[in-house]
Amino acid sequence: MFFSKMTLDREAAISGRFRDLVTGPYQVHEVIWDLFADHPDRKRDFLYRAELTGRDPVVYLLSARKPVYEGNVWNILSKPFHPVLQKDDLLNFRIRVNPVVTKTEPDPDRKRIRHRHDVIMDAKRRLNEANSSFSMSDLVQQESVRWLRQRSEKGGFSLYEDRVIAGGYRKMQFSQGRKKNTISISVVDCDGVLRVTDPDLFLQMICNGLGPAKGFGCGLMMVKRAAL
Amino acid sequence: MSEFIQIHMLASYPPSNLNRDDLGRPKTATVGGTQRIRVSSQSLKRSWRTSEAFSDALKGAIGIRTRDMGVKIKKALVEGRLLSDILEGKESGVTRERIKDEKKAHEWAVKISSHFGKIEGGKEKDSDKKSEKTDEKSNKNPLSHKQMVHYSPEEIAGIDDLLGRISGGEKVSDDDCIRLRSDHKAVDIALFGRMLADNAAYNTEAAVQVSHAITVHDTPVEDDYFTAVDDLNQLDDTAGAGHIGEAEFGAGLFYTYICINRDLLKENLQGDNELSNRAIEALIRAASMVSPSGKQNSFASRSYASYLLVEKGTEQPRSLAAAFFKPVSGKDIYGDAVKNLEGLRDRMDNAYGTSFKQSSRSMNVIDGTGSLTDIISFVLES
Repeated sequence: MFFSKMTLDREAAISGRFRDLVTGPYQVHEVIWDLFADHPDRKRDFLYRAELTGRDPVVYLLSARKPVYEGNVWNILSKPFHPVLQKDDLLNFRIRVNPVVTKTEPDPDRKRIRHRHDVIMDAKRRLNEANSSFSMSDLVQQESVRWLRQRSEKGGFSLYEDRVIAGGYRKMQFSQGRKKNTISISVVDCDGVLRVTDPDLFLQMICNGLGPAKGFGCGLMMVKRAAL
Repeated sequence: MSEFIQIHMLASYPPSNLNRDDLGRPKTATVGGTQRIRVSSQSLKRSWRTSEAFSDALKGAIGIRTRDMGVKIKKALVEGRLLSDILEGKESGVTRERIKDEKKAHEWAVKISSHFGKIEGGKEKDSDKKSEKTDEKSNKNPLSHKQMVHYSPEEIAGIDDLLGRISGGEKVSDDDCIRLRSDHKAVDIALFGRMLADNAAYNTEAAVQVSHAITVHDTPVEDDYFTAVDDLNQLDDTAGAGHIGEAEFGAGLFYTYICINRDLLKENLQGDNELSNRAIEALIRAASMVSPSGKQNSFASRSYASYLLVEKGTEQPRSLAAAFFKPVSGKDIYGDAVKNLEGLRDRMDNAYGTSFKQSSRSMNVIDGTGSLTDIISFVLES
């Protein structure tokens, strides 16, 4: 595997040229696909996380192959990524997720019986129906941590829940290239500390990503050792 | 000579508290050539000012910050209700004559509120109805101030009084409007000051100066997940040690310096010594017990200061931030930070012949010495 950091070339940043190229999440998705497009039938074998709104745009990439880029807008640094992890290793992590649950509900009017529910909106609706008051930031925190916790065992880790911070809940809406359909996903950024419980499962999870919307910059868990 | 109260504070905040930049990363500062996390003084002051600890202690003596005074004045005139009720969002009945002529009410609202700051202005007839319909809070309302204005309780009462006279049909002159700037006793304005760009006469010089809080240790905030890859690719020697150091977890131990000019504060409060003391006490309590921006994630964000050093005297005040030019490192960041801070204080006393140490009290929660009650009674005794 390779872990890469894409930063914007100074000149491109100043001229704002990159804004023409990456006007929305779908364009970002395309820009990143291009790095790995050696032939048209490739399946996605990379994860990424893009921070493009601020002054210093940056994209993190985890990929099976080394990204190839010949343009002059981005600078890409790549490193081989072969974490040596043991049970009980402590790691700081950061991940952007699309916290949804898939519910199976028989719906006679529709063909689909499996629906994806945004867990935060779900919880909000329940609380609203129950007429109870709540703070949105607490809700994002609770539901995101719950969502992560549910995936922790299979992912080979356990969370230090009082050290996890979830925030920046927002909806991303964009149209899919030339096709007309609109895609809408909500994302949350989580930061925290975890303990590796099963190194093999954990590495698998890191390489495959966590949760849905991986094609749109979710699910890449970045980790570093929590030093003493 | 003015008397100064200086507060040196060490507080460890979890990262959820931090004051973030537009990318959601903690704000930073370079101190002594190394990167530190920073919490801006505005963020600190705001969190103290808006804390329950502060507002409960100073009930009735805190002003209101709003851009919509003009809108509320008009509403008060048209509905014949008290301005103070409208500001507090109270449902209240008609208490005085209503001004039926909306245009008249609008003119009064412009006249009175412009004394406190520039208002948006704009077309009254066409846009007025529309924008008032959209929402009072709409920034585009021609009656809104261009900038936030801080009103003292006395000023609000004064405006209310004036509105009563207007609706009673009394003649009200420009002079009456100017006289609205009564000598107020709003504690928050007295402490943190007020600047109305367009009307210097209404300004109040802040009696309190607050430094940005900076970490005493080196904190690489830059997303170093990329740099960390090299670490991950090797076996970690310390694996399984199972301990998260307090200083490690991004968090940080922050130094904050606060300087209160007691004489100026008293002057700002029209010589009210009792209120001035209450203000100082409330400030010390809020500063040591309220973390910045606790609202974002009310979870992990509450922490009390671990160390407090309070000095009072008439000597020229000085910050002790220099104690941390060299970042504290090693295992006992807290202990070393306290040592460095007190060491610098002593060396400064020696070098300058000052005597800050003699007139100071400290509280060290980790060592279990001193208490906030002691500190407050020390500060308040004359």
